[in-house]
Amino acid sequence: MFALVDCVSFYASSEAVFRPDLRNKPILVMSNNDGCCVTLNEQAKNLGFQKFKPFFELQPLINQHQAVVFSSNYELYGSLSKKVMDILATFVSDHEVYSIDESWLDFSGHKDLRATGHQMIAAVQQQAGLATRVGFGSNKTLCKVASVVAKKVKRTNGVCCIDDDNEQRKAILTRFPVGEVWGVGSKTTAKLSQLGIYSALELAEYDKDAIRAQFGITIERTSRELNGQKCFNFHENIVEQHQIMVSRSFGKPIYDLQPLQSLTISYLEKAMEKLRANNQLVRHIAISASTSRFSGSYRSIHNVITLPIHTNDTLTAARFVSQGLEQCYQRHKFVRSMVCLTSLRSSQYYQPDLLEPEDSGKSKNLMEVIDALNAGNQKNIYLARAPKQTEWDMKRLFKSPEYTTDWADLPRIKC
Amino acid sequence: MIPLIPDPLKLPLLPEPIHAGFPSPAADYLHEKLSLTNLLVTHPSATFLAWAEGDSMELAGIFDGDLLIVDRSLTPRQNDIVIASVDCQKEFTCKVFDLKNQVLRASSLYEYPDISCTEGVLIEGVVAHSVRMHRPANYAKS
Repeated sequence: MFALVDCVSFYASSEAVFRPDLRNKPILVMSNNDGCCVTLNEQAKNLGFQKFKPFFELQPLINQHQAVVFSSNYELYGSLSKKVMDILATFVSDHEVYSIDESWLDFSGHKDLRATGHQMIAAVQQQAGLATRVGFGSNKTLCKVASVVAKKVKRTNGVCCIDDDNEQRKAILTRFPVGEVWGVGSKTTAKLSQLGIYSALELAEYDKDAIRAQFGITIERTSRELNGQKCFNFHENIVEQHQIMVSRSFGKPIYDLQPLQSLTISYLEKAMEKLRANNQLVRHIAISASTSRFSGSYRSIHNVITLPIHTNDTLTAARFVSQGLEQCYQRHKFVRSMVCLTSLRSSQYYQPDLLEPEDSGKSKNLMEVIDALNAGNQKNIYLARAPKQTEWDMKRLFKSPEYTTDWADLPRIKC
Repeated sequence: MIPLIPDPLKLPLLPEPIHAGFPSPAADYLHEKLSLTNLLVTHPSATFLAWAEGDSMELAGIFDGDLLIVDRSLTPRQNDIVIASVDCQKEFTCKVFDLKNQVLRASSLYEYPDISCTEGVLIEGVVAHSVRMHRPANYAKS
């Protein structure tokens, strides 16, 4: 059996760990540059706040209910996340961190899982001060279902276990909307409804060959997992990454080409770093820059760049991105830009073209040195045309102190 | 980031070995390191650091500006120094825990009222160690 453990309203709850006065108040956490709301706690949800609404639309409700607003404090969330993952890891021999607030745990051979689930919740609450939920299942897809049930059904007390009992599994799946199943997107949901598949159970029991023919192997595996079979292994991404995107909004608007180029190249650096970490090479790079969606006349510029060869070399890519941006540039009040790497190949199995210039290995060495110097999210070395990020850094007006990562910000305790 | 583990502060027991001449007979023993973090932080995932403010704990050896090492995984015992949240106040308070009488007490030459452990009082962790800053701690906002 596996388990998926996730934190309840993680960002919002993290803000209350060192602020006892906020624990019963509505809390909202805003996205980069305080653009829109990304996390709400239970209290805020009950008052009618909604995720992904821009700040100015929420303002009246915020004033009315004295809700507490925070900018994203990634330093705090990252460090609390690490604590939670470390606590969970002590319960099992193998675990896989799935996101900042979710972790898979391998409970093969364990007994009395429900009791263990409640022990985990108690341990994380006591040691890290955060609430969690636990979904047990015989595979990852069923764990995800169980975790949603643990979230929605109050009497589970945060622990749901879909065990080998077929009747229990079917009873849950028949009431579970197929669109909420892990890996089933909105397009797939629409197509499935045309086949009369609305519940997770209907997907589980549908003809596997037909599913595979229409939706591909991933959805077929999803369907099999809903039936209790194990298809997605530990440490295996459900979909191989086909693109890597880095997109940010700027701290203040940009009009001119040159700062736009340098900022976009700093996003490219991040994307290329991820690419190398995945052992992949890129051939096409999509770039775009856009004005604010909330300011009437929305404008954007974009371009797709074809690199001469598949590469993971930041210097080569930066040269082409710089040119590509120049080609499509028009003067607007830009607030956001995006870099998207596509046509990715594994660098392990890549067969170079006979006509390609031979790789001297210099680039590989240089990139390894750069990645080592920048390991752990540091910015020790960067291209001369990328800014060291101060002027256009994120706007985080409501950021809480870095309680766990900065000496000056540690909690002050009354003695 | 203030890493609790792995520890950046590794104090070698011996100075650098001499680079010329007869090899240092101590060279083989040099990997023994003393780590303050390992000594003071027993449960890294349950530990947080905080600054002490005020004079109510001076007789217990905690002065204004000292560093508190708070372990949330320990079960408080009689006369442990604990961190508590009181009636949803913004800041935590640090006091001596009288388990038998369910009271939080100051430890000071000055008068401080006792706090009885009623519903609004939640013990959040045990101050396992504290670091006395005989000179003020030197940190600048990074």
